[in-house]
Amino acid sequence: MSSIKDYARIAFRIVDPDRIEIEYDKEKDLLTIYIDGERYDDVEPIKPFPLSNPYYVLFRSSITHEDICVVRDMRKLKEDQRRLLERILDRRYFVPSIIRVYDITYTGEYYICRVNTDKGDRTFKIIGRRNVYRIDNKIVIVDIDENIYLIEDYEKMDRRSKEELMKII
Amino acid sequence: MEVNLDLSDDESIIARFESDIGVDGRYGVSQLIITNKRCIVCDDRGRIVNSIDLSSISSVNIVDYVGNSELKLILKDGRAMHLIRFTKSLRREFNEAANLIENASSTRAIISNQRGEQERTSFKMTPLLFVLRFALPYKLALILGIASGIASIFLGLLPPYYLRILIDDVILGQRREQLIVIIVIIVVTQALSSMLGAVRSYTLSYVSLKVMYSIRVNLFKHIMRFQPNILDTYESGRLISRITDDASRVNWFLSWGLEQLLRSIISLASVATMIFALDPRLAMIASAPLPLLILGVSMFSRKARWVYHYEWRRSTDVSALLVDVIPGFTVVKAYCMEGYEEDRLKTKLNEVVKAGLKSTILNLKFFPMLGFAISSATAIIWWVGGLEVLGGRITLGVLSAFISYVSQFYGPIQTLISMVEPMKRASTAAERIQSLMSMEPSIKDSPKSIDLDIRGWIKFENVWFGYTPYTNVLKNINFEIKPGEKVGIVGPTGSGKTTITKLLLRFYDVSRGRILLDGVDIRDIRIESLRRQIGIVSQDPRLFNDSIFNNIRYGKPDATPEEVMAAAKIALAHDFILEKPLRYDTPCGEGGGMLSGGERQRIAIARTVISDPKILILDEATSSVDTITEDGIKKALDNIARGRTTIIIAHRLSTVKDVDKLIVLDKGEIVEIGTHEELLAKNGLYAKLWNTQFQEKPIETPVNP
Ligand SMILES: Nc1ncnc2c1ncn2[C@@H]1O[C@H](COP(=O)(O)OP(=O)(O)OP(=O)(O)O)[C@@H](O)[C@H]1O
Ligand SMILES: [Mg+2]
Repeated sequence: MSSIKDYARIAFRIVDPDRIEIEYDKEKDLLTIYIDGERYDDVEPIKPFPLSNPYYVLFRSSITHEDICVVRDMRKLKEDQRRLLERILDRRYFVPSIIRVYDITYTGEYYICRVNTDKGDRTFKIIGRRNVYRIDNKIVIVDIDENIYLIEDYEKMDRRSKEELMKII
Repeated sequence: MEVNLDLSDDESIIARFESDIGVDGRYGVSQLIITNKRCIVCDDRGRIVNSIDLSSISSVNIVDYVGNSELKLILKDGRAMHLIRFTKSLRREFNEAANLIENASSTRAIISNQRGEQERTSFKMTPLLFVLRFALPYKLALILGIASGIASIFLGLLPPYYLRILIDDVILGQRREQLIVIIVIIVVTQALSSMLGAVRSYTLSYVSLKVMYSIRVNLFKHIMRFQPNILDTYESGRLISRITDDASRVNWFLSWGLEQLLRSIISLASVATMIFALDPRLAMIASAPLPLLILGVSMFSRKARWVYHYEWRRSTDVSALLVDVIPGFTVVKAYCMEGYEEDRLKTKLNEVVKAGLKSTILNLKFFPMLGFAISSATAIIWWVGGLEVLGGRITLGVLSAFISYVSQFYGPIQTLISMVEPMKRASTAAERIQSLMSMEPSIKDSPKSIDLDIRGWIKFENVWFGYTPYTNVLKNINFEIKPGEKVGIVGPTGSGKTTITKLLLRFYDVSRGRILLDGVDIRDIRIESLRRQIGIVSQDPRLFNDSIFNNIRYGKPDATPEEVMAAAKIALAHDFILEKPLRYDTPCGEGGGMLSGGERQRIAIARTVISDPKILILDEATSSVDTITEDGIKKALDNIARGRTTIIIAHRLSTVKDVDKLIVLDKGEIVEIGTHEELLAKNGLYAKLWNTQFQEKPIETPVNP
């Protein structure tokens, strides 16, 4: 009888952040990675938990869909490696973090939210509470065009933003 | 009703059922008595009109007609016998009677004919005392709130008193210097009174919110002690309404209600004291409309109760219709029934309008009349009091103070009378809460229950079981599954497959026989220990409105991310999850409604697999996925299920054909046990099922390879 723990160990190899080397293949927009000198081509980096555990990265073969390995915290990668990975992931996971909410107005059909995010100012529309999810203490907002915004910690926001947000949560 | 049944020595009554249609076919009474030997029907005077030996009965049916039904027997000699008629209101009771007759040969006990819980409102004190325990932890705040409410009553008594001094001494007595003193006193009184009001509102709101919290948490905790069989006695809706509606009604009483009650009584008593002290004669006049007031309001509330209830039910009808139709939107559209549904809604809404007008008219009939009675009394006081002032028997100040008190006199009376209804409602709610709280789970650990490290040897020994007494869903079930064995259970729908798994998890206890796990009766194993080691993917898995990650981790709250992904991989869910925009953080929606049926099933499998169960039960767990995916899941599961006892229930026989042993169930009985090949060779029920499936579906087309 193999336990889920054993199976997980085989299926998802956890690698030490210093034992992985990453190269970017610009043409294919994919990675080549080396683990302990072993080479894997056409690797796609994936964040399996983009909101609840955003620094967790799964490396997967884009051809065979095999899970090659996971890095539990990409912040622990070597500086240059981390930058490279961040740049690629940033494009794949564009989830701006809302820093401030200027105002939220209701038109009778949509809520129009004007916010400031870590990627700049933005105005978007949502229909109602069903566009707002809570994951742990984070709040995720998916607007009507399926763009995603994240509030890292509601409690830590300024008072005015919190008051505005009360209209939709 | 006395019946002389002439019972023989070894004959005893098992049950009685009273019908609401007499033997003459009119509304009335007739009775069905079941003994261990006979079925007897009596008329309203207890005379036996029919008596049949159980041994001569071959089958029992209930035949439904318009507006009534009857219990019909087919006798062994082929004759049909119309035993007893009853209206549809008693359909359920007689259904039980029919089952009882059918099973009477094997049963001997007396059943009580329990009706469902009824919604009555009556005022009872004990339930209210019972719920008072929820307020106990906040007694200081509650006392503070009530005390400040009462203190503000006494403050309210001051201004009329100073009004008298103002008029008699200051104005008429020309004592200019005292004017400022009185004004200051009045302003300070008002300020104090406002402050007390704020204290009262805050503390009572605080108590009310806290008590509500505590009632709800306690009720929820209590409900969670039960097994799923509680849903057979209490529908989930009714349990929810205990936690929401009943809790808030009781809560109203425990905070505001209690305070209002005390405040009105004290206020009434003190105002009454004041006016009688000022002028007993005028006070008598002021009390004159009291009997009228009490009579009027109580008559009104008796009538109003029906009218309000009627109005309330009309609006519940509207929500019931909407709750039914809106989720069924697709069906409405598919059948082009928009117009029909609109008409139905309009009818119900019209009734709401009519009922609303009815209650408005009722209000208009009563309140202006009461108002008039009160004003007349006041006018008489002016008249009599005016004469007395003119005659010099009392001062103008006394009269002014008196009139000002009288206006404070009727208020509390009206409050008290109008509180009768909500008090009744609170007490009924409290009664319901009390009855739920004092109910004990029938299935629970005994002191000698043990924790068992399960190896997975399952044995059913002569197991009988029915959800209601006397209807046997499982009849004499015997089988054994050795540790690590993989067993399939198949059989027509309703044959009792899922029921077997519910018994194994001890959602219900067997009626007879026993279930052994590694040789230990499961009733002697701690329920938590038992369930932690048995993993079940049920036929209709419910996911929670949370992310996929959290839904899978439900099976093992401390699972690592890798374990979650590994479980998903076994359930062949990993790939489709990674294709969702938010991957494992994708929300599942209410009940998993944002996922397809097959996706939901695979997440449910992952949720079970991650808990590393010693015994794995898959009840139609892959019925909604295509055969290729199913095959993949089967292979992946084999990997992890090796060495684990596995029970697979499936209608699609290809799912179970390669298990170690197949148990074939029909109408609650095991009809065959053996391997696929053995059973095919036997040419019994399994072979028949296999052949029909094979012929009807020669090729299974994958939906989503
Ligand atoms: N909670 C319940 N209360 C009363 N009767 C029930 C209850 N649950 C199931 N039954 C009845 O018990 C019988 C067996 O039900 P069970 O769910 O075990 O059937 P099953 O073999 O799993 O059927 P299916 O293949 O349709 O899932 C059915 O007649 C069903 O109506
Ligand atoms: Mg079933």
